[in-house]
Amino acid sequence: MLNLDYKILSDEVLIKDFQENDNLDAYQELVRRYKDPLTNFVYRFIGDKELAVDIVQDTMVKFYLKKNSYQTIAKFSTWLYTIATNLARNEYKRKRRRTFLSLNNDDSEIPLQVEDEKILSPERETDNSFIAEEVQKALLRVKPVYREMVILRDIEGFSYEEIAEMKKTSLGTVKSRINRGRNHLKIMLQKYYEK
Amino acid sequence: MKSKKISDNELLNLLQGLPKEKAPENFEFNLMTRIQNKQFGNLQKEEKSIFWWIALPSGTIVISAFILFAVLFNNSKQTSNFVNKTKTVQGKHDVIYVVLPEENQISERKSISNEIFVKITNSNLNSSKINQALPLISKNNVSLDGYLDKPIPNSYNATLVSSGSSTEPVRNFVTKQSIKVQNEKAKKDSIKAKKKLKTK
Repeated sequence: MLNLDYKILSDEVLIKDFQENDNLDAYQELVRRYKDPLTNFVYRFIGDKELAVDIVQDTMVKFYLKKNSYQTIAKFSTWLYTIATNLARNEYKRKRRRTFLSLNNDDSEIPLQVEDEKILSPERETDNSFIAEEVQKALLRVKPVYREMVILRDIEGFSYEEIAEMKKTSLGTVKSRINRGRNHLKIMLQKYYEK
Repeated sequence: MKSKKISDNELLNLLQGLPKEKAPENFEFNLMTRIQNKQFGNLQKEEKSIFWWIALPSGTIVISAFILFAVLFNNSKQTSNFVNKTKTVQGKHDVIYVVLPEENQISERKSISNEIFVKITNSNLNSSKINQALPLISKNNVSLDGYLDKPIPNSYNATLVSSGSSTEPVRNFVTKQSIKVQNEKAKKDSIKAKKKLKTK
């Protein structure tokens, strides 16, 4: 059983304990804190639940193996999300190669496959799960480079600075990519707002 | 139908309204089992450098340039030796003759690496130094033994002289001596004939 004290300790204290003392309880506490947010983030990026869980497992294993590559100057969550993002992006590329969606790597040009409005029942149109499904579909059609930033900012709630640190890019680039991603999403979701 | 554009806030609401996906119940158990059994797959391996495909051709270019330079440098060295040799040594194409006058004496011989230096002291001259490079390059080597076995057309006798610091004679050089064998033989025959006549 985990010591109750671990629950009140900050991420940075826990990772330091794990680094210095190989304390598996500290590691497990960090896993417990981040397994759900990471699963949500990777699922929104990849669109496949099973694959997302596998990627989060790999992220945690990598965190276990490369614990010493974390430096206290950075925020722990930023570091962990960087690992997850890299693994998710690699997996996404592999998946794309397998499914052969597009050769020119421009998802925005693929038209959104929307069901005919006439055949939708009013109940279904207002159904939250249906809307969520369509938003997820639209998300997956945004370019990965914009998509990951929109998810990190608007779903996971990271600040622009944290995203810039994660992606090792400038603040301006982050803002511009998020803006482009949002604009692509708006265009694709417009259909559901034209009422 | 009235068209209304989605505002940033509306989009944000849509995105934040998405259900939160959660990890399965057995996530931690599976993870810890994997760690205990050390089933890390490819994650334990060091990641390949992104620049390996840049480093590989550039490395190849550097190595090939080095080899090319070494070959060219070696060739230029051989050429310079060859030029030097043709300037100082006059002879036929395949055999080097070094003519040593009787009053000259070889006072010093040195062998440095593949080059042979012969110092000749002349009675008339105080000191003359022949610093001719005689390279022992396999490419330029000729079979002296084969050459010596051939009959010499001008009937000059040849004497082998040694070279280098080795005490053993090396059959590399030939001195020419103009001995008129036929004349000497005729002289001897006439002397013998005269002696025979006297004794009779």
